[in-house]
Formats: sequence, C-alpha cells, structure tokens
Amino acid sequence: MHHAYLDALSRRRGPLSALDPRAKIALTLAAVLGVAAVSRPSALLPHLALAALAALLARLPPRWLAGRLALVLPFAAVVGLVLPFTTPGAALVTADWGAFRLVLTREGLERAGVLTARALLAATFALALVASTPFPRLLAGMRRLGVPALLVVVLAFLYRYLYVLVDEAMRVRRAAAVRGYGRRARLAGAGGMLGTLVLRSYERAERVYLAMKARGFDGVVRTLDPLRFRGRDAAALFAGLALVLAAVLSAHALAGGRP
Amino acid sequence: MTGAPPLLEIRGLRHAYGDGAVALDGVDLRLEAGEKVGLVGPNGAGKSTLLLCLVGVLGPAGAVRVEGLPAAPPHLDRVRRRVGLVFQDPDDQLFMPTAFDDVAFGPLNQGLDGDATRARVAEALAAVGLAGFEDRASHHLSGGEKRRLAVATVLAMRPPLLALDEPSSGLDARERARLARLLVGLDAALLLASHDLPLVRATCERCVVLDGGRVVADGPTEEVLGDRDLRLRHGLEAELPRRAPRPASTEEQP
Ligand SMILES: Nc1ncnc2c1ncn2[C@@H]1O[C@H](COP(=O)(O)OP(=O)(O)OP(=O)(O)O)[C@@H](O)[C@H]1O
Ligand SMILES: [Mg+2]
Repeated sequence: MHHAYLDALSRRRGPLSALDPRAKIALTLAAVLGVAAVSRPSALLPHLALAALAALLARLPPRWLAGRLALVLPFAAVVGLVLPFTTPGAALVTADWGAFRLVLTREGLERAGVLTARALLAATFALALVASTPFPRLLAGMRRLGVPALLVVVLAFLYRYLYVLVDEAMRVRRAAAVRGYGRRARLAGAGGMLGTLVLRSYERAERVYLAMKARGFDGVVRTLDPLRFRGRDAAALFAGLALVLAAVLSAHALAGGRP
Repeated sequence: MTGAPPLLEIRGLRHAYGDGAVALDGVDLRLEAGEKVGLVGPNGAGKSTLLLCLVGVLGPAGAVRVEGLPAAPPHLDRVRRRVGLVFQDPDDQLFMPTAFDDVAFGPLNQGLDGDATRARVAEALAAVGLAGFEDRASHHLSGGEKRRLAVATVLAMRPPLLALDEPSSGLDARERARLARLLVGLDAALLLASHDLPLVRATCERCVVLDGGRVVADGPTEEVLGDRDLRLRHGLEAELPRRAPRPASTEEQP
C-alpha cells in the first residue's frame, strides 16, 4: 500500500522546487507575519495578490488548494461566529429577549471577515511551501535554521512511520473484514483491533530502536546536509522579502495609515 | 589454532518467549572470520530468534560471544557494530526519511566524514542495484526495493559479520541473482537465514539446519542439503500435489 498523500505535490518540478528550503521557510514566515499585521479589510488586497503569486509559483492545483483551505475554514468559523456579536460598535441587527440581548455590529462583522481571510492567506503561504519542497528537504532546512534537533527528529519519524501505521491499521481492518467480521460485532471488536494496533506499534517501535542501536545510534541522529545556499537562493530570498515588504507598505497606505 | 577467539561463538543458547514457547533449546554454533553459513529450517524453527540473540536483544547473557565479547551489557554497542543484522521486515530496518539518510546513518555513527560517507552510500546502493535512489522515500519503494535497501544499510557499515533474515524473499529472479553474487563476493562472514535453498547452495559453503530450537545438522552445504531424508524430515522439501488433469470436456479432442 502506498500513500502519496503527504508529499504528492512536492516531487513535481516548478519554479520554486530547486530553491533552498531555508529561503522558502524564511519567506513563508515573513509573508505569514505580514498577513498577521492586517486588521482592516482594505489592507487585505496586496496580501491577496502576494498569496496568489505564491500559489501560482508553487503550481498549486486550484482544486487541491480549495480542498485544503476548506479544512482551515471550520477553525476560522468558530471565531467568526462569535466575534460579530461580541465586538462593540454600530449595531446592525439587535435581538432582544428581555434579559438577553444579542447585537450584531458592523465592526464585529468586519473583524470576523478579516480574521478568516488572514487564516486563509496564511494557510495558502504554508501550502505553497509544503507543495514545493519534499519533506526531507524541509526537515533539513528546519534543522539548519536552528529548529531543535529533537523536534526535527520527531517530525522525521512521524513522516516515516505515519505510512506504516496507516498501512497497519488498514491491514488489521481489512483482515477482519475479509474474515466476515460483521457490523454487529463491530463495537465489541473495535477495541480489540485497536489493542492489536497499539501492540503492533509498540513492538515495531522496539524493533526500530534496536535497528538503530545496531547501526551505532547513541542518541544523536546524524545526517549529511544536502543543502547548498547559492547566489540564486539569496537573490530569490531578497526579491521575495522585497515583495512582502511592498505588500505590507501598500496595505498600510490602503488602510489610510492605520495597520 | 591461534589464540584469537572465533568471530562468533554460541554455547548452549536457550530462549523462551514470554508466553512460554521455547524458541531456542540449547544451540551451539561457531563461525570463523569470512565463513559463509546458511541457516535453514522449517517455519518456527527459531532462525529469526537466533539472529536476534546475536545482537543481544533476546537470550541470556553470556551464551553469545562476538570476537570474544559477550553480547550483553556493557559490550552491547561494540558487539552490535560488528554484527550487521538485517531484519525479516524491512519496515523495521528503514527508519530515515530518505534512502540516502538511511544508508548514511551507520557510517556517520561510525565517525566517517561527509565524503567518505557519500562514497560508502554510493557503493552500497550500487551493490544492491539501487544507484540513483538516494532521494527516494523508503515508504515509496516496492517490497523488493525495500529489502535491498535494508541490506545496503548494513553493507555500508562493513561489519565483519553479516546476519541476514530471508534477504531473498520477494526479490525477482534478476535481483535475487544479483544478491547471490554480492554475497559470494563479500569478504565478511555471513549467517544467512533462508528458505531459499538454491541461494544457500550458491553462497554458503556450510549449512546449519535448525528444527525445534536445536541444531539438527551442521556441515558442508552439499552434504547437508544433499541428504534427501534430512530435507524431508525437517520441512526443507515436501511433495506438492499434482494438478488433476482437467475433467474431459464434452467435445471430443481431435
Ligand atoms: N515475539 C514472539 N512472542 C512469542 N513467541 C514468538 C515470538 N516470536 C517468535 N515466537 C515463537 O518462537 C518460535 C521461533 O520463531 P522464529 O521467528 O525464530 O522462527 P523462524 O525459524 O524464523 O521461522 P520462519 O521461517 O517462519 O521465519 C516460533 O514457535 C514462534 O511462534
Ligand atoms: Mg523468521
């Protein structure tokens, strides 16, 4: 069983794929920070243009992007549903039930809209990074940028064994289904299957640890760095940072000098 | 005889799993440096268990010695660097994000520098026919490719003893032949647990038969495997049923 889910896109060639992951990580962070500073709807436009450019350069398939962004929406929605009623300002609609008053304000609606847009834009930048960088290179970039080694190793193992775990879960479930495991026994048996899965994962972890020890593991995971930061990467980094800065400045101007 | 201890010495090795199943019931075995030995026997004979005892995961302390060192604390790390063990399941063996990182893991831990490590990785990958697979993620490899990559991860460390558990299972004919040539050309000693008798014949001058956790035969491969009675007794050979001829069709054959 093969799951190309996590890194299906990152193996394609595109304008961003050859770029050093460090440059891409730095640019993504800058772009996300720029978006985070926005608080008025009119200031969103330049950032929207920037996100569109990132999506284009990373060759994000529109439907794929829409699907991923839809996953972000529920989180934004929770905040988006509360804010319009809790922000003081000009009342648009008022519902009055005696002791309980609900006021929908213009400022509240605006804030909810901006917040949702910010979340979607930030997600677009992050997706552009992930879709144009194979995960192992992303890890190497994080390591070199000073992300704690333990965190990088945990992510690496997660990346490697997520597939094995999903496979194992599918195997256990399929094996049960093939042997005519009916709907009635489902609940009772689900616990047992989960137990099997936990046990298998535990024993696998022991064997993997052993395989690591057998190859001289002493607590430090060593890798050779495949990264080379070239002139091209520096140029792209500066061009990108200039674009982010331009977006932030023009957003500032569009919002009438307020952030 | 020189005074140097043998590469591998196993004396009276017993192991019972937690649920009481006795997997090894007093095994004695000696391997000299460079010796290539096949380990055969029916399912459940204890072959995989024996290999795990070599690196001190299982088994009592003191029954296994590698170059004179007991496979037990505080010598475990040194013993494990001398025994290149390849597990029966490659998913246990391959734990790094890319093929390159996985093969480089051992050499880097041995303290090799970047260039020497890169050379080792290229050599090991080429030896198993995976040149050019450096950037591939191991979960995107086929079963046979995973198995070959697992072999490469220990080859790159150049241990004096290679312990392989079913390395040819799932390989196509060409890759199986490549593996056989690789094993024949190896300077290291080899303990090869396998059901693939032709592979054992092609690569090992000596063969050990394990059954019920005991060594039931140990000698030159041709002698041991040439004994048909022994093969039949220990599940190394069995008659397959003949396919019944098709029921006569209603149409007359011309
Ligand atoms: N983790 C375990 N827990 C309990 N019993 C085990 C475990 N692993 C193996 N056994 C038992 O120990 C015995 C020896 O198993 P082992 O895996 O060593 O056999 P093997 O010779 O490698 O067989 P195969 O040819 O099928 O790989 C078997 O009876 C098996 O059921
Ligand atoms: Mg086995």
